[in-house]
Amino acid sequence: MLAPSDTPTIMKDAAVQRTEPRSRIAIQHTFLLLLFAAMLGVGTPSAQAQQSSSSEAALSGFGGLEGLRTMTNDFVLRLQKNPRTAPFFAESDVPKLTKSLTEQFCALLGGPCRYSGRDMKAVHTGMNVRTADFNALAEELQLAMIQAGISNTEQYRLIALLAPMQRDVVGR
Amino acid sequence: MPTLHFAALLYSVRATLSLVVAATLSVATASAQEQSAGVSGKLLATSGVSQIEGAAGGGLATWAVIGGYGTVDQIGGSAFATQVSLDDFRLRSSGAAIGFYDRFELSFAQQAFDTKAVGAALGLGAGYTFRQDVFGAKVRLIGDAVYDQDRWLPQIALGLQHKRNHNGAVLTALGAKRDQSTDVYVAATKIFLRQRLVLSGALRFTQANQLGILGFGGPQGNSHRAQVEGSAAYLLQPNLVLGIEARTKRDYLGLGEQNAYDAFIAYFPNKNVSLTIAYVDLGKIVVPGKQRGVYASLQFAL
Ligand code: HEM
Repeated sequence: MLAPSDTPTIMKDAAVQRTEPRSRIAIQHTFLLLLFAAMLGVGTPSAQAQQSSSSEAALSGFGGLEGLRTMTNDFVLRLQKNPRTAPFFAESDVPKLTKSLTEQFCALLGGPCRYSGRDMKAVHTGMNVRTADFNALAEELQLAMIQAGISNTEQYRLIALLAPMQRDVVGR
Repeated sequence: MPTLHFAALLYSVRATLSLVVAATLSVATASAQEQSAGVSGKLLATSGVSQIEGAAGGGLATWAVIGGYGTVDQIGGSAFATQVSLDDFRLRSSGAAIGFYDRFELSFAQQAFDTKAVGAALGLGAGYTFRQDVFGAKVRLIGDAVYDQDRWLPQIALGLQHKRNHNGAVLTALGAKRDQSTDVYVAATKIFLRQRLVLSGALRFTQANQLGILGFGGPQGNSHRAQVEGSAAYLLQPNLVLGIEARTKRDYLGLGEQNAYDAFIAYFPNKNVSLTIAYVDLGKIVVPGKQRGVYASLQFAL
């Protein structure tokens, strides 16, 4: 993975001697190496799925199942306030939706849960959710995670798992 | 001399104007959004910034994303002003892009390349400035850089940039064959959210000398050739992106033109503004030594 601390190396290399041809080669090499390292760091989508073992440890970044539930509850309350998502959730049963979503997030993250709710396509059919609504939901989730003090790494992990669901949720 | 100053003034007035218009638009639309909730639909930073020729991208490299924050149901847009202060020159670029339904992008940029003292040494006059207009169009063909997290397929776009240089006579004297030309490119961009990485590559078919600022073609050749552009960026946090870029260039003029590189940091305080600061190395430009310096770009978007 390309760590943020890798970038200054390039800057340092680039700052040497204006006319020295070696420095150019050094810059090119550093660049290619970083690009290559970045590509290796990416890994395959299937490898990602295997990474998370089905255990409590998978939820440690979220404060365990309890932490995940608290964050999810806050998330649902936010959805009822955001002007873009509110109309969809006006009549939602908050505890029930929190339970469904907590289960689903927990299972996706590799935690010890099984999602017992309905199929994503089926649930969202007839709602006519637009991409901008989906993104508003993602933004509220991000805010709820920030509020809960969840690390950037864990935030991106959950967002990455949810992103492909856009196809099941939007435009149905 | 007074005319030069006037031209520079006119340039900055125009750049400022496009930014003011964009800022006004963002404010107007933001307040409209409160009622209709109909704009600014993409996720923060996912439409990149404005690259030096006006298309959505990194700083130097072109990306497959569509400019502005419009989703598939919306129209978005952006305006930018960029200044690159090099050892011997100064490049300014400003312009705007409109994104239609996250599918098409139309862009415009005007570039001014101030030769400062080198202009005098070359007999063009101190502060002689090359000017170029770039008209761009881009279409997203397949893939989605953000949502396709479970697929390898990147977002792929096809684009063109029609470039019109205003300095025909001087370009001819430099050995350039043409003062206008059209670049065609294919770009592929993927955001790996889990790894917090953005990887992007583009293949550009061009005959440009220094992006077209020194015209097109020359004694060393005149055909469109494939050049490579690449970016690798790290999402430090949702509003802060760090990255590096490279862009190959060809030496048609026989003046030792070299590849360009940069390392950038882009800050997105909100969806309406972003600021990109980079350290750039544009390689040799006519005079001995590499042209390195600071790139600063301000963008307004909606
Ligand atoms: C990745 C994104 C999303 C996920 C993972 C998700 C997940 C879920 C889940 C698990 C349920 C409960 C199903 C059940 O209990 O059987 C649900 C229901 C629902 N979803 Fe989504 N959803 C997403 C996006 C959206 C969006 C963008 C909207 C609209 C803005 C939306 C609107 C609704 C509504 C209105 C319900 C019914 C809630 C109720 O029971 O009152 N969802 N969703």
